[in-house]
Amino acid sequence: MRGAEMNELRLFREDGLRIDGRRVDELRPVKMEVGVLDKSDGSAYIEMGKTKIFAAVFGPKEAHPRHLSQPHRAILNCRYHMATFSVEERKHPGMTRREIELSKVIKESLESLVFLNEYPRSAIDVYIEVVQADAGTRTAGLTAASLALADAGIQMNDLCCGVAVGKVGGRIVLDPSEEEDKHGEADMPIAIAPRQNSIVLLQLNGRMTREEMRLGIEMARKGIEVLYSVQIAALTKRVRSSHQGGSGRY
Amino acid sequence: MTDFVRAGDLVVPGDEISDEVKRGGRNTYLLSGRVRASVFGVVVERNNKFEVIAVKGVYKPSKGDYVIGVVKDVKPNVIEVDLGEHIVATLRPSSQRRRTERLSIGDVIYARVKYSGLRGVILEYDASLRKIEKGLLVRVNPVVVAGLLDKRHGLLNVIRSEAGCNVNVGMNGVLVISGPSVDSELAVLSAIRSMEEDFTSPDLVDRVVAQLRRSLIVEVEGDEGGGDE
Repeated sequence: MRGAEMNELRLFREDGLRIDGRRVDELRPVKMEVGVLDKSDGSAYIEMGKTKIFAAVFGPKEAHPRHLSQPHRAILNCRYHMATFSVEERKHPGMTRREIELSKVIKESLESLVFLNEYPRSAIDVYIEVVQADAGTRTAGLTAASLALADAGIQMNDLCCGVAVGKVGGRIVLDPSEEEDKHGEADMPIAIAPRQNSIVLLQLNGRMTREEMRLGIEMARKGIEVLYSVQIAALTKRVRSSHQGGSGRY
Repeated sequence: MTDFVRAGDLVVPGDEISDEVKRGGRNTYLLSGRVRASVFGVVVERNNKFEVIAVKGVYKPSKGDYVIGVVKDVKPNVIEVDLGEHIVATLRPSSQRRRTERLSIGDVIYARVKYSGLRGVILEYDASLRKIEKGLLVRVNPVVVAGLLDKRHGLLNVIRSEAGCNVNVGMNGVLVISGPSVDSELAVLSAIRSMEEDFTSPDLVDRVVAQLRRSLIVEVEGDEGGGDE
């Protein structure tokens, strides 16, 4: 009985909407918050659907070990890590191959945003901790990391927002959920620096035609516009909320 | 010649500030003929240039800045000064003046930056160098430094007349508050801390003064209460 149900897995409803009721070009509910952690120099929290991620930034500070420091620029270290309880089956706490790869990919995206040559001989550490994973963690992590960097007052040329585009049942969908990601044909995470309109991350798992890819990138751009406005609201709120907190005490 | 923001506006990295290329100051950069913000902060206009004061962030030394540091080490030819974060500046006393007459480890000094670059940070050893004898040493955000140094506000004078405290402002985010009593120094500190919270409001000075008066009264009352018992 269960097997039969599994075979009839449907990712679209009869009215054409996705199983979670979204349109093909609709994001999951997004929530962002800046300055959530006290001990780091900058921090941010993001929720995209069921995905929940913290990002924290330390620095610019002295680079350790010393021999890694560069005389003309800062080095950027990035660690993307998933909590043991972030997935259904307990994940072992060490860094997996996937996490090491994502750390590298995210680091390279962030390096294109930060003015590293403004901070000679220093290091900037970015920590991305996935508390709950439900697809799109690398793009959400990158979005949160760019907010945390801005919160730390680090000089950068732009913020950055990321979202994934998937191919599910032959259709291109924005921001696939865990189920769509698992059972879809392709997954393409994209991150864009919105003010410069430049792509800072683009990966593709699976196959897409040239036309599908063009459509996917277009869809991602629209989603990123929404994400960017949420980002700005989160940053502005950081100042305003502490403002209100201040007046409340008077 | 269009400006996209006004002084006092909040900007995020990448925001356009002006299309007048020459008007870019600190914490801005140029892209496709436009001056843009490179940090999250508040726009100020100084010497006909737009600068962005970061809400938070580490200090980046630049020539001419007045800073406050703690003497970390005194070597035969060089004195190392800790400017906070991880910046260690050097001070090279000239041969005419004997360094031993003045500085020892742990001293707090007020000095001007002579050079900042690949050779590190070098402080000026001249009449501008001063030893700060006493006071409350605190670290604050860049917005607070900018607010205190803003001539239009004249906050330093206000604090001096209200609480009798002198505030030495290091542009590296280090302040030394020195006044007649520890209580008055703490009152000034709480007023300065309140700036961190509402630096975008136009009535900044009034708020700070109100906070200062309030904390001064509390201190006085607290003192009296203690005396009665």
